[in-house]
Amino acid sequence: MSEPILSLRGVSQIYSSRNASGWGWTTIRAVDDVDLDIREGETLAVVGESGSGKSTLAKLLLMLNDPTHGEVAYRGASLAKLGRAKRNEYRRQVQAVFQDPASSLNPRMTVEQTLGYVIRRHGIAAPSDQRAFIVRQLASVGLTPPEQYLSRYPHQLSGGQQQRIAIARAMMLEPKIIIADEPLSSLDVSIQAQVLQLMQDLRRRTNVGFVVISHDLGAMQSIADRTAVMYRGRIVEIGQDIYSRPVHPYTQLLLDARLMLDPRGGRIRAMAAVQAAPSKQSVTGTGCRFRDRCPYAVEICDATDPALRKIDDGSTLAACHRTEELAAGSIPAKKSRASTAIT
Amino acid sequence: MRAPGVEADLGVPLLDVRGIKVHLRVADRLVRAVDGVDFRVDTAEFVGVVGESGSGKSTLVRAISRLMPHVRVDELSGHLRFEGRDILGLSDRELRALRRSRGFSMIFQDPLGHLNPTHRVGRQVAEALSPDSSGQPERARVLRLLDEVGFADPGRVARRFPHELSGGMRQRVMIAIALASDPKLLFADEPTTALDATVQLQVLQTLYRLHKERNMAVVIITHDLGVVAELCDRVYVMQTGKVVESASTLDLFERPQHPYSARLVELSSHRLDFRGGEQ
Amino acid sequence: MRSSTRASGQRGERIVTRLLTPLARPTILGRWYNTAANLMGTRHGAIGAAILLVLAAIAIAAPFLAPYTPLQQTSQSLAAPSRDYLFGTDNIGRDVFSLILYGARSSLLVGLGAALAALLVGGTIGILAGYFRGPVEAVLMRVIELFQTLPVIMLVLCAVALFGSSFWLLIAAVALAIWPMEARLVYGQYIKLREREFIAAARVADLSTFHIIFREILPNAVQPVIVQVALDASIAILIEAGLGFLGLSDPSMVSWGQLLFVAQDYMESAWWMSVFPGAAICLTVIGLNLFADGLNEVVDPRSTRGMGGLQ
Repeated sequence: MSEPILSLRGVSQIYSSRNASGWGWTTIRAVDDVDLDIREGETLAVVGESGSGKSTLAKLLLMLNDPTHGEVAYRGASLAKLGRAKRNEYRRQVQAVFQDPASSLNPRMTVEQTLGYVIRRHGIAAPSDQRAFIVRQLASVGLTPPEQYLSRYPHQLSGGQQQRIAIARAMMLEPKIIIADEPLSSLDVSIQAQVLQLMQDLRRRTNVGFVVISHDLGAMQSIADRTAVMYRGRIVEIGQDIYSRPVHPYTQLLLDARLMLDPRGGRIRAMAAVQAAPSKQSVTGTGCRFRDRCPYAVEICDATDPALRKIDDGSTLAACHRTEELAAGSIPAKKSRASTAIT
Repeated sequence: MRAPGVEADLGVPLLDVRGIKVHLRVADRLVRAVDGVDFRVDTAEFVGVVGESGSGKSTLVRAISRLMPHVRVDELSGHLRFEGRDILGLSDRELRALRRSRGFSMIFQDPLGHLNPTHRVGRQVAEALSPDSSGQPERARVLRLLDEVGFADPGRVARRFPHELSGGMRQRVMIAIALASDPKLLFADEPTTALDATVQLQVLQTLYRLHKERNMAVVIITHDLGVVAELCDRVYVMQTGKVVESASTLDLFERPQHPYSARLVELSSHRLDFRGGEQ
Repeated sequence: MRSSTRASGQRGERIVTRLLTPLARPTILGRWYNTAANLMGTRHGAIGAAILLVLAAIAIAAPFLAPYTPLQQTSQSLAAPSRDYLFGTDNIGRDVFSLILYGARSSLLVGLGAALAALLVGGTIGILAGYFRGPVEAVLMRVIELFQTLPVIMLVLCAVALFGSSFWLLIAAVALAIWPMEARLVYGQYIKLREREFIAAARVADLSTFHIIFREILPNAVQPVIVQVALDASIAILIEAGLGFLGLSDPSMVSWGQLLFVAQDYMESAWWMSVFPGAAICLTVIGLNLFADGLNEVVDPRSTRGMGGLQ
């Protein structure tokens, strides 16, 4: 087991925003007291729905925002305390790929210019060699013939091509980790498969690690070593097998929400009862944040917020008071406490 | 669900589209968004239109429902019949009358962009109500619609503004507005693409329930074959402006005829394991 | 308007195309060519540009075009327009036509100079407030608001009263009046653009703040700003003419507003003294506004012709 390359301890991102009515402020705990270790070379998927805090987490890992509490450490060194030189080194080691490839490239720059600035900033190629270097990078992400992409503008490229260029930009610096924030969401299904394949190739060639933020469990299942499930700012489950052996009730909910590709299944048509979706987010006070949607909630869930802890076999951690009972199957799946209608 | 392979022969189809072409002019280039498509929907069918970006699926449905966005249309031709009546040649006024009552309605992907941010929800639903001969008060009809789309407290929702609602709730409001005119046919353009998975499930459930309860035909555009598998009786697969395959849902998944549809089915259902590193 | 714009646009485009085709490569020059060609395609843009080009030519070539120098006082004062004196003469016998030609210089210089000065000052403040936000933004926004609420004409009058009315002071004074508009525009652009993903990507790539502000954001921010500059120039010319009319312009230079000042007493007796300078001012302002209209159409991302912003 390698040493963690990125560590989060008690990291929170809390901010206040004005209420919709204009009166008063609401505190939003986008990321709430998260502990996480990311190992070198691993692919960690972070899944969750909107409001889970996964995008905010990505920004914290990329040092685009500073956490309000807690510490993000790279190889043991806290990011907040890095000097200029160390910061630069961090940026080279931890790179990013964003959701919308079209807007992650400067619309007024050609491919060559976009990549060229990064090259010159970090001195990773001699000026005379710059063009050849770019050509090699483009070829390594599967863009052939690479020369014809040099003078193209982003709007002249397809989504898949744009995303490859974004990946090339990130990989050029030979990072240890790439944080990919919903890298597949804007792409067509056939292109998604290609990008996933590219990510896998890169892993094999360079042992680069990935932290992939996504809402698409199916895609994550095919690529992730470990998966973390986030709900309202917290990691509620993290492990290797969450797809086949989910522990936390929310994980189960997410897995149930996937549409079946079996035309004979007809689950929606059979109208299975599903828990109500939450109304707009609010601070829940003490207690588990999932309790208003959880079919297994009991008194202790109202009182205490469960901590993330190991479940018996050791590889999975989950934040739930009743994991042992659930695993043993001693609680029958019962109808939701919440009504099935929308409030 | 209809028995697979049996096209219901109910005489005049609800919607009959032949050879529809929509050619657009974008920055002085001709774009053949829809290039000769045949398309039909029968009463109370649930039809899916599947394709990736650029396939023309959105343009097709918007052209049919005559709700084109602000693009320069070079050509819009073909045969377009709703309940046997030609609608391509209708004037704006006649088209509006058709949408007002027992015609067709449409819901879109981003409800926020299609709801008036300065009007309360109840008012927006009321505006869409068809003229009613039963004499029921408007408010009662609005509340009934909101209840029908699944709100537990319709009165409270009716008083809200769109931005105060979550994504799933807004989508339900848009469905309520679309149902206000008691349409025989509902077009749904990627209605759940922007929603979380759990919310998507509920909205799709609602949509299906309404389809059954009201005997209303639904045409759903999507890129997600899961949606198709769960809901649709029949599917059209589109690629670059043309329909490459038209089949029952079962046939599409089990015996896809066209290589493109076969590939789509394979990519969706075959979860490749990239960790093992093969493709 | 669309269809006729297209017809004349195609003609204009064909002419420019033939002239400039060799330059149409995907370089910076190539993009300027594209913009220019599209601009010629809009009726407003073409007319506006034509007017401005003529005015610029006049301003540059005034000494060659004018039959008399501005200081030259002929024997005939208050003469009506004739073959010798195309626009007549003024009360001290100067040829109005020559005065107008020479006056183009001062008006255009002050107009453009003030617009550019406003761009410089307003742009800088807008960038600082929009990119850095926080306390910097708060302070700068108050400064902008302060200048917007002050009665600018009063400011300018005070400045002129205190420091006299030299040419440079005039430019500064007019710039003072219009810079808040530029500042707000640039501020709005920067606020919007700094949230874009390619900026986040630039930060993640550890590109310098200078690079992000000037090489990443700025090229994306310029389009509406260019339009505003053209409009600012027309406003500047009007303000300058107004100042001249009030008798505050630089006495050592000929300006159209100054001509109007002198013409006040002769409004009925020598109509040519006021009509021609007035017409010149009008024409210039109209030309600038049409040019700005054309730019706007070309620059609008939603228009189906032209650059379309991200086209």
